[in-house]
Amino acid sequence: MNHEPLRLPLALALGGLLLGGCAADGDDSRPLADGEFTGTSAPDEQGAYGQVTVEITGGDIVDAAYVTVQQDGSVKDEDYGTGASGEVANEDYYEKAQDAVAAFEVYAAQLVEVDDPDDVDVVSGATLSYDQFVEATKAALDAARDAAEAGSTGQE
Amino acid sequence: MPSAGHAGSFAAMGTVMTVRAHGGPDPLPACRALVEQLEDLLSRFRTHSDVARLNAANGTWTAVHPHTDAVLARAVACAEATDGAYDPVLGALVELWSVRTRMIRDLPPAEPADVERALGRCGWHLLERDAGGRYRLAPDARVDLGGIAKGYAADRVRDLCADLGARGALVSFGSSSVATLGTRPDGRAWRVGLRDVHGGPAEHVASVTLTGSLSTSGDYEQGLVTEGCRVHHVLDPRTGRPSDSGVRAATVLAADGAAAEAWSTAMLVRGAAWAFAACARTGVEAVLLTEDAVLVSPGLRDVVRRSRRTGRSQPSSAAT
Repeated sequence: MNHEPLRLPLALALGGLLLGGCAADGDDSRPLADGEFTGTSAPDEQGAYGQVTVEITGGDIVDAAYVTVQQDGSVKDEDYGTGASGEVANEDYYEKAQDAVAAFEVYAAQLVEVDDPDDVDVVSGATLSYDQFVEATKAALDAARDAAEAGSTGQE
Repeated sequence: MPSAGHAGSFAAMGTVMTVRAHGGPDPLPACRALVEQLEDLLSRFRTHSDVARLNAANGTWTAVHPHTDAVLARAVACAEATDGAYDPVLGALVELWSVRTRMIRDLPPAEPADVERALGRCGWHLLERDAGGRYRLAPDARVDLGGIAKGYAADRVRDLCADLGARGALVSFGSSSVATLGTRPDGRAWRVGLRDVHGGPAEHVASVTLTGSLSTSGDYEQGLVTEGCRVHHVLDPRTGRPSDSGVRAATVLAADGAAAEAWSTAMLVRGAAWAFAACARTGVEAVLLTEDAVLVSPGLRDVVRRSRRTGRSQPSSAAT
């Protein structure tokens, strides 16, 4: 099966995150160092945590991947919703996972002023869950910024 | 010189809050601090929170912060008003049906015997308040304010923006709770799109102008299908199982965000006929999305518009 859909929307979402200024803990204007950087979230109630790895080239995010690491150290990655054989065991959940990742871009996009009075200011729907995703993303980007200030590049 | 607009997002309560405001200084840092304080009080996952202490108090009286008192009191009032269709004391069922746990461990739907046992530990009547504002919970019961805290927080952030001098503000908490102040910078009313249950987070089937608070509950996020059972995060307190009323999403406009959130949950659980009867009885207004229809309460007929980019049929007004 094709794992690309998870990686591409995630890279877009990270771009949106930067423009939207979501990472309020750090100074968002600091440049990003080239290389590969990883950030993790705090563990949830089951001991699982989110982990984002970003690849930065020329100061831009060119690739990104999000995985959930379970308490036993095993990884739920873009196979989320698939069985051990790689088949999509749970089509509905697999699609939801893809949507959730892609959706992050929407939040940032909503910060842009709406010119067309017919356009809506915000779309309301069921609560979107981003806790681990947001935390891990912030941590990864902060690591890239720290590296840029230190004049180094990320681990290869 | 035109007044500056401010916009920003931050992570809180397991989701993202987005704030837009115009007029006055940048309210974002203060908004963030306020939401952090509320999460510290209301989250059942933070061991030092009022809710976690209440859950761990083993039946003894627990003193809580005025914010917690306000949310708990509102939650109980909403449980009574909705005849228990919204219930803040569903912690045992919430834990049993945890979508995240089921995803990670690939579990089947909960066993009927386990559901029965969990139901016995649920119900808002297991929560008491004394005259001093302290709370007591039956030892095995668990409070979960996840169905109401975001609506309360969105309102408080909106109020904070007003206190700081904003002339207009739009607060979205996880897209499910929206609170407004004043108008958009161009003087027009804030307009909220209602997400298509078949589409992505930006696709809407209708929109509504909003002066006040709104909440949407839906069964399409944070869910999965396992062994043919749709497992999602909105539970029916009557059956102890994920709701299956035929309503896929319920958006409620109410005087306050906490009530809007409780009613949207209740309407998702109980279905369209019950929901519109409640609208007529209580004055709340609702837009319900079923698999293939948009249903609008009579009071919203003039403010709900169909969105252009949908192939869905025209909104139909609810029978009165």
